[in-house]
Amino acid sequence: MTAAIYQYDAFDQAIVDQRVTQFKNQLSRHLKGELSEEDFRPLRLQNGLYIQRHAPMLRIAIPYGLLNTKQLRTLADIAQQYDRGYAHFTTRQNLQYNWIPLEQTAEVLEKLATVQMHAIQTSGNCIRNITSDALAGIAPDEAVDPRPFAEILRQWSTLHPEFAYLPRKFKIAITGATEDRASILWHDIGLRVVKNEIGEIGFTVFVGGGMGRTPITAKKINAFVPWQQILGYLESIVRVYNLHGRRDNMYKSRIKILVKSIGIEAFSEQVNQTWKKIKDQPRLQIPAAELERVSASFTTVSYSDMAVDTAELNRLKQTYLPFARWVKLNVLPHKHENYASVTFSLKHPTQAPGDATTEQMLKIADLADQYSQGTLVVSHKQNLVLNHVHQNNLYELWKAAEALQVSSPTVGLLTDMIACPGGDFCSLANAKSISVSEAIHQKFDDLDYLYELGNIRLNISGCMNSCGHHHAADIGILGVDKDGQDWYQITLGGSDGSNKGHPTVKAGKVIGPSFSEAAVPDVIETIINTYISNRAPEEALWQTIDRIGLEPFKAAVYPDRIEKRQPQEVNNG
Amino acid sequence: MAKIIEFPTEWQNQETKLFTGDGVISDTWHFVSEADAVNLDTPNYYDLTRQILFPLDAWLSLSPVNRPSGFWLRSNDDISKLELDLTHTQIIAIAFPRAVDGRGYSIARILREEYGFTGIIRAIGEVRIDQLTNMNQVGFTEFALHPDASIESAKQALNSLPNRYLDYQDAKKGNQFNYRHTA
Repeated sequence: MTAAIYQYDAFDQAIVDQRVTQFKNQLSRHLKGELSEEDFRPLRLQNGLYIQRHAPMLRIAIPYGLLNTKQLRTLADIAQQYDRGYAHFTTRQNLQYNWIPLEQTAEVLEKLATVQMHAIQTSGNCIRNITSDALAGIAPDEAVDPRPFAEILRQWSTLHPEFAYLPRKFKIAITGATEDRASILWHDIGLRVVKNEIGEIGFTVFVGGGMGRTPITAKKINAFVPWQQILGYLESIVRVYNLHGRRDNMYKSRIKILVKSIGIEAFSEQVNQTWKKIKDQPRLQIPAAELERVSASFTTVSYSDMAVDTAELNRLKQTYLPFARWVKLNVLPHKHENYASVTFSLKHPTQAPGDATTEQMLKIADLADQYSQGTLVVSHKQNLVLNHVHQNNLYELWKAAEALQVSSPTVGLLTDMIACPGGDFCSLANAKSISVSEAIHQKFDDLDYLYELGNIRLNISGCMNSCGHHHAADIGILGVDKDGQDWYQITLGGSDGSNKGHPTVKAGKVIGPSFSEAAVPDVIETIINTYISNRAPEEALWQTIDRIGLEPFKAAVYPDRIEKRQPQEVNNG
Repeated sequence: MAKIIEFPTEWQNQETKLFTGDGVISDTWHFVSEADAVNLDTPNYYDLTRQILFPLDAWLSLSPVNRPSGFWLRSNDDISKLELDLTHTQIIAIAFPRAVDGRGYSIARILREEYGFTGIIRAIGEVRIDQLTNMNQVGFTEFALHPDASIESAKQALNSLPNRYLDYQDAKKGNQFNYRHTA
């Protein structure tokens, strides 16, 4: 048995219901002109509403990525009834709608509350949705299931009265596994649940990570905080940030800038001063009974002892090459030997990365009911993961996924791109993301070739806010505005902390001047060709970049570079 | 100069309406703006038998026996480093120079929890009725609202989220773990 998904009790339900009532009242006061746009803004943001290009974008919280099928069906119905029949899954495991009229948003939130969902703190300068490993609870490399802790942190941060108006947004990610599949070092606070030498559970705490204009990875601030004391420790960090983070310049107001400017030692000292004063307060100690209560509030899944028919599975793999590829890339090992984790790819060439239609969501819900005990997970890579699939069902599930166009056998390959909605939807974006991902799909449409290229992470962000995590990819594409045109800057060598990239988590480096949209696919092709002509046997792209550096790539991408530069140098001289 | 950009001061000259959660009360404290405190040769100019709220630095410049039993804090006053003696303090006002400047919430908790301050904590400056519920949670007991603010709406807003996962208001009384409090 393993935990599946947290279930609300009457208390949790009352919180989301009260929040909907509160928002309805605020919205109605705003529509009547009693609440100015300026005063309404932080209130709507903390209920997930951005004013965007076409309509408000509404971001729904999916706590640490977990969904049950009832929730997914409701999300699908909302997309049908209030939006245009689709929705977008994000890198922070949330879901976004783009076309819901402001007047209808309270109604949508009310509908969400009926399935234990909300949009609380999915935006605004507050503690955002806690994210985690999509394989939490079933990963073979996991020391401690982080989800009961993630739920306690969710409850602690939800409506936290002290931290609703921080200098800037604040993101926390948590993992309990050896491999970091949650990019914890790219978060304001990254938490790793660990066991110490005598088996006690605690947290290694990292602070000050973030992407944006100034990509910085989080630094270790405490190797082991006993789990009972984690709330006090987090309150100390966030309080120091709330009091001392910059508020005069939006671009310098994330905690990463504070940590960088005073240094991790000085920051750590300030945190410890606060922690010393509050750590023993009974109100901040998590009692064992509370952890037990939260753990017991998760539904459970049970696993069958029915043996895997390995002979049949092998026969099917030999008969159907696409199935074999899908198993190799989209099916991951499970703690239970008979089971597997299956990734439904939302990276079909005909759809924007992370998008799913109402029909797909409804049918995926049916498949999750049939094959994965009614739950699924939104992954950081913008795919949907079914974590409780008996291996004897893999072939049937693959056939069904094929029919839904969610079976692209490309997980971890170049076309498993992360992309933000970009300039087509987002008012912050400098440039489009979706058309670029489409063009890359067209350029790299040969599965054999993609397979041969192996594991490559390519991420696209439409602007410096870096929602598409371009900094953390082997190949990053960043939209920039040049005289009103969409241009794109390319970075190489970034890493997110997973085993699929450079072991040192770092931002990619810009290779040179930006390109027009039309040129981007050819540039990517040149980078790939440079990799192929330089790679050692079995070498992944990140390893080649690491070994030979950026120069060979720059030389290939900018062949005229040296000739162009020389006259400039003469002029300057 | 950066300070001025960062902390608007116009609010210091605005009229307010003092709300306690139950209703409006008349303000028995005389508020002294930063500008007025600076322009005076010494705050001793004031009749110290009156109830006067000086900004913290002016209050500190008085000899302890002359200090009124209240003062007000800017959002960048770092009280965790000051070790103030609050034995004779009845009221501390905390300024919100902008509605989205959230430092005052932390300051209030530091006063309640680190200093053990049990007197009045008043929210002044850009105080919005939709913030009252959070302010109340971290220990504020009086709210200087805009004169046009609807008291009906303010009461409703203050009581809009009776359930809290971590109820600091209630915990303040018992100081015990109170994870799932219902009002």
